[in-house]
Amino acid sequence: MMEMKWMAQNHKALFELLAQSNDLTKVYDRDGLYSVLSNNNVYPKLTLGYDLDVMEEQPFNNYFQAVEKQDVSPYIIFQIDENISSKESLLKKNGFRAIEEWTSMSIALDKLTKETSGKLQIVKVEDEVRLQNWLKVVEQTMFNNSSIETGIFEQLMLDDNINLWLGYFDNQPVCTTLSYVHSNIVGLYMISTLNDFRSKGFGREITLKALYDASSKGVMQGVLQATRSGINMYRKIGFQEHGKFQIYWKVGKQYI
Amino acid sequence: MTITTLLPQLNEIFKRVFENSAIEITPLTSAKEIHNWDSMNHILLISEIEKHFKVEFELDDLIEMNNVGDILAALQSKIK
Repeated sequence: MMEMKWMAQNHKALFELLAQSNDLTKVYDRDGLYSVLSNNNVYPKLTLGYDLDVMEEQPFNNYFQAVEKQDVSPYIIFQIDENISSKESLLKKNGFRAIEEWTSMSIALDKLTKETSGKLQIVKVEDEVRLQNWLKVVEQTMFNNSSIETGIFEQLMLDDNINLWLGYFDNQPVCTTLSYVHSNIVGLYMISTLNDFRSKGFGREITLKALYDASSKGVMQGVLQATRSGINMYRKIGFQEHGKFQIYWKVGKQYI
Repeated sequence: MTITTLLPQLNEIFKRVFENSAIEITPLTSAKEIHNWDSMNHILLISEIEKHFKVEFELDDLIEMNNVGDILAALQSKIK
């Protein structure tokens, strides 16, 4: 599926950008696997397995060894395709298990309809105060309150192709997203809403804001990876499903 | 296996995983009531339960488990 490839390419390009950050200390780029890591940081804690299409054991063995040396993230994502069961059995043999499934979704931006509730004030994050507010929401909703290295996002903010969006309700920061334009496609990441403010349409509104902004700059396509709980909201916006990704984790306290 | 048989065994696993000997679970106990029951500790918990009861849960089971009652129901369907 072309749309899944767009998603994978956008995600990888974002990680390559992250790799340029001073706060990221380790890059693993081997056998079609790609990961960027910083010490004691919960983001970006994922190894991208999108480009691994050869089913041989050696790339996996190299990866497993690197996991033990803490040179690569113990979280790894693959497309669900005809090779997934072979990959899964190799991973299982080495203590990994599937922990999450994301659905690849895309939308043609010329099909967007303009709508806002007016209840949410959405701003672009361009200063330290807003960045701290953005990070607080993301940490609380996506990372069990573990702190994220600010430096990575300070650098991302400076990139013309990246926008961090923050939604305020009654002057309180409640929802976020990150948009990244690459090859005329906008990828949306970290779409999150604080628990107490869910089911109010805020996730939909901040997603649309990021899409309108990209569309106004001539971007034609939007892509994202939806968690199970988010799929319906994205369908209502007009996103279509194109396949699935599965995330595996090497189970163990030392690998959190 | 009945809930009364499973619950005490499950309780011991909870105590071990969350390193808290005071934990007393009921079918209604959810992540809100157990300190550190976050998404990653949830996976550790389920892996320990799998080892103890010699069962294997699917990803779907994992995602649908929101409280102890859900875990018990999934466990009962696997053990029978």
